[in-house]
Amino acid sequence: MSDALAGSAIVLWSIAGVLVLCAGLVTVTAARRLWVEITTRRREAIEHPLRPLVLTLAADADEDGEALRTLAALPAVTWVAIEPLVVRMLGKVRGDARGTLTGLLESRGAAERARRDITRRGSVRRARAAETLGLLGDESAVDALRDRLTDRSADVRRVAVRALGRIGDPAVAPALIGTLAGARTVPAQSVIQAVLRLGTGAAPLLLPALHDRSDTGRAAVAEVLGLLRAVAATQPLISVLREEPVRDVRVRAAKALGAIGHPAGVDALVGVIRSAEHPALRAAAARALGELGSERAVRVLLPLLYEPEHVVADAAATSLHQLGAPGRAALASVLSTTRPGPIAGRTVTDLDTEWGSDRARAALAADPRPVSAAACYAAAALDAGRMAQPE
Amino acid sequence: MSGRLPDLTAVRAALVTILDAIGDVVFWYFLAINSSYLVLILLASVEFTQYLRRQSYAGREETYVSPLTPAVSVLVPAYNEEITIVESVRAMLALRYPTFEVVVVVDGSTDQTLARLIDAFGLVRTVRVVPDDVPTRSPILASYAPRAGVPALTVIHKVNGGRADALNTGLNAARNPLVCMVDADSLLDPDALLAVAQPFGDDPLRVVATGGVIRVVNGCTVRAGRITEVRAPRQWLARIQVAEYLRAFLLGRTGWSKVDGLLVISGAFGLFRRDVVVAAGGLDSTSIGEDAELVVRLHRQLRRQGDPYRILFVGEPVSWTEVPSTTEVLGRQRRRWQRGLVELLAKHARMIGNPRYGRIGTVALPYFLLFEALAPVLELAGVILVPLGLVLGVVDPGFALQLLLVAYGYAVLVTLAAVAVEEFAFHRYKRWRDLAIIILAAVVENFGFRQLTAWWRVQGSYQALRRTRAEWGVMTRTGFEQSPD
Repeated sequence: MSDALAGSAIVLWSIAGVLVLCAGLVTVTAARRLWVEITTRRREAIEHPLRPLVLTLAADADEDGEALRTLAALPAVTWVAIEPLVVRMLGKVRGDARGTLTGLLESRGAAERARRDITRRGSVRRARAAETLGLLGDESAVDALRDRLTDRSADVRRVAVRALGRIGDPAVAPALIGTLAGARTVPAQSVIQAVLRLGTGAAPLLLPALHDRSDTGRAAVAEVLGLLRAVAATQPLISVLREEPVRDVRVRAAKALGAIGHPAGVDALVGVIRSAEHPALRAAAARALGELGSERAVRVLLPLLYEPEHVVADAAATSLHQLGAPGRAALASVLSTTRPGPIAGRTVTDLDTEWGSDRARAALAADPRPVSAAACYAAAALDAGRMAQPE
Repeated sequence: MSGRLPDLTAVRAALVTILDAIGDVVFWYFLAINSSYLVLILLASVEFTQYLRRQSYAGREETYVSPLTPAVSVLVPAYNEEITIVESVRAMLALRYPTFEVVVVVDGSTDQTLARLIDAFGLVRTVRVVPDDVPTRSPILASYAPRAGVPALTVIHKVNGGRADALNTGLNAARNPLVCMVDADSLLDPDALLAVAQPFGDDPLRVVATGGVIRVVNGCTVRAGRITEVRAPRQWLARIQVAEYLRAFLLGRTGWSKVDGLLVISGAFGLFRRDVVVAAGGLDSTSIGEDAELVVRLHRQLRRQGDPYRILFVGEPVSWTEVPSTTEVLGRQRRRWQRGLVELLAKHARMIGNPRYGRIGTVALPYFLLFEALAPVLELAGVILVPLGLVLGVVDPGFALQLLLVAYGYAVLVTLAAVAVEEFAFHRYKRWRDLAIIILAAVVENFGFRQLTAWWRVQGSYQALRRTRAEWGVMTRTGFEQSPD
C-alpha cells in the first residue's frame, strides 16, 4: 500500500468510527424493537377490553347503550389509544352503526379537532384531518375541504378529494373535476372515484367538463358519466365520439355509451366501427355495441371477425357471444362454412389432444371446410361459453 | 539456492509496485462502493419515512374498490416447478385486486407441472386465438382453462424456449392492459398487486412499469400459499442472503427509484404496461438477464421518443421467493446474474455516459458499470493481493488488518443500516432471535460469502465475454415450510 495510507491516523480513526457507528446502529435497532414491543403491548392492553365495545357499536348491537356510554366516558388518555380503532371502523360500516360511531367521535371532539387541524402547518396533520372529516361525513367541513383542493401538498389534495366524495354533496363535482388540470392536480382515479360517490345527481354538473381544456379531464368525465349510467349524457357523449380530437377520450366515450345502454348511441358506434379509425377505438366501439344489445349489432359485428387486427376481431367475437342467441347463431354460421386453423400473425390453440399427430393431420385433411380467421374467433368465443373437452 | 534468490527479489519488487499501484485504488474503491450504498439507503429511508407517515390516509382500499383500477394479467413462466406450482397459483388467484387473470406458461416442463395444474384446477383444453404481438421462439401446444370458467386462470403449454420466451408467450396471451411478471415460486403478499398497481392509477399517463420488492421465504411459515410467520432461514447461506436482499433489493432499488434511476425490476415481481412492452418488442429471449434488459430498453426507447414516463419501485408489500441454500445453486445464480449484467451493459453501451438518456445514461448506467460489473474483479484483486503481500512480506500485517477492518467494517455498517431501516419501517421479523441472526449475518457475510460471490461473478463476466450458451436458471426447490393445521 502507499505511504499516504500506511501509518496514517485516518485509518485508525476510521476503524474507531466504523466500529462505534456499527455498535450505535445495533443499539438503535434493538432500542427501536424494544420501544415497538412496549408500546404495542401497552396499546393492546388498553384496546383489548375496549375492542368488544367498539365492535358492538360497529355491529349496531348496543341495545342498552352501555357500550356507547362506557366509550363516551373514557378518560382522555385511554380515548387517545382507542380513537384510531373507532375511526378505522367508521370507514367500514354503514347505516345506524355509522351514525352511532360518528356521534361518539363528535362527542369526543374528533370533528372539532379535525376542523382545527385542516389548516395547520404540517401536511400529515392536514391530510389526517381531511381523512377524519370525510369519514365523519361532516357537511359543515365542505368549504374547508374545498379550500384544500389546491393545497401545496399532493397528499392533502388527494385526501380532500376523497373526503368530499364521502360527504357526498353533488355541488362539489365541478370543483373535483377542476383538480384534474392546472399546477396542483389530483390523480384521475381518485377524482373519478370521488365523483362516483356523489351519485347520479352530479352527472348534469359534469357535462360542461366534457369540453374541458385538459385531455385528462375530458377523458375522466367521459368515463365517470358511463359509470354513473347517466342517460342524459348520451347525446353529449355521441358528440364526443364523433368530434373529439383525442383518441383516448373517444375510447372512453364509446365505453360510456355501451355502459349507459341508450339505443341512441348505436348509430355513432356503428359509424366508428365502419370507419378507418384506430383499432383500439373500433374495438371499444365493438364491445360497447355488444353491451347495448341492438338487433343491428349482429350485422355490424359479424364482418369484423375477418379483421386482420386481433383486438377488433376478438372484441367482435366476444360481443357477438354476449348478444345471446342471435349472436351465437351468427358465430355458429361462420363455423358451418369455414373451420379454425393456422392463420398468419396469430396462434390458434385447438381442442385436439393429439396435436401434430398423424391422426390429427388426417382429420384436418378430411375436413372440406376452408380455414378462416373468422372461424378461429368464432370457435374461441363459443368455446369460452361452454365446457371444453377434458384432457 | 543462491540462484533463486534474485528471482524472488524481482517478484517482491514487482508485487510492491503492483500493490502500490492498485492497493490504494482497491481500498478507495471499496470505500466508494459502500458509501454509494449508504447514500442509496439514506434516500430509501426518506422514502420509507414518507410512506409510513401516509399509512393512515393512504387509501389503498380506494384502489381496491375503484372500477377504474386497471385490470392485470399475472404472467407466471413455469419450468419444472411441480413442487410449488399449485400452491403458488392458488396464492396468486387469492390476491386482493379488483380484476385480474393469472396466465401460467408451462415452458416444456419435463416433470409433472402441467399435470398438477390440470388436476388441481380442473383444467380443460380451450380454443384460443393468441396474437403474435411480440415474437416468440417456440410454438404453443395447447391452452387450458378451468372447466367452470372460474377462477380467471389460463395455462398455456408450449415447447421449451426459455424464461423470456415463456414470458413473451404470456404477454401475447394476456388480455389486460397491465402485465405482472412473477416467478412460479413467488409468494405474493395479499395486497402486493394493489401496491404495485397504485402508481399506475396515480399517474396513468406516465407510469409504465413498477417493481416490487423481493424477500427471502426460506425459514418462513407458509399456509395456503400465504406467509403466516416471517422467520430467518435455518442455514447461514440463506440467512446472509436475507441481509443482502435487504441492502441491495429493498433499500438499494428504493434509493434508485427515488432519483428516477431504477434500472432493474426483478423478474420475480414487476408490473408493466402491456402496450409499452409490446411496442418495445417484448423480452429479449437471447438475453440472460431479460428482466433488467427490458427495463433498460424501455428507458432507451421512451427517452428517444421523448415521451414523459416513470419507472418506479414499491417497497411494500412484497413478493417472497426461495433463495439458494447450497453453494452450487447459489454459484449458478450469481454467475447468471453477473453474466446478464455484463451482457446488458455491452448491449446498451452507447447509453453509458450519454446525456441524451438523462440520469439513466449519466448516473445509473455508469454506476452499474463501475460498482456492479467491475466490483467482483477489484474485490477479488484485493482478496488475492493482500494475502500474497503478507506471504511475501511486502505488506505489514498490522496495517493490512487495519485496512481490512475499515473496508469490511464499513461494509458491515452499510448492511446494519439497511437492517435498521427495515426494523424502523416494516418490522417484518418479529422474533428477537431472528433480528439477532440477521445482524450477525451482516457480519458473517464478509467471511467467505462475499469472496465466493466475487469469484462466481468473475466467472459470470468471463462467460458473458466468451458468449457461452444461455440456459434456464435451474433452481432446486425444496418447497415451502408448511404450518401445522
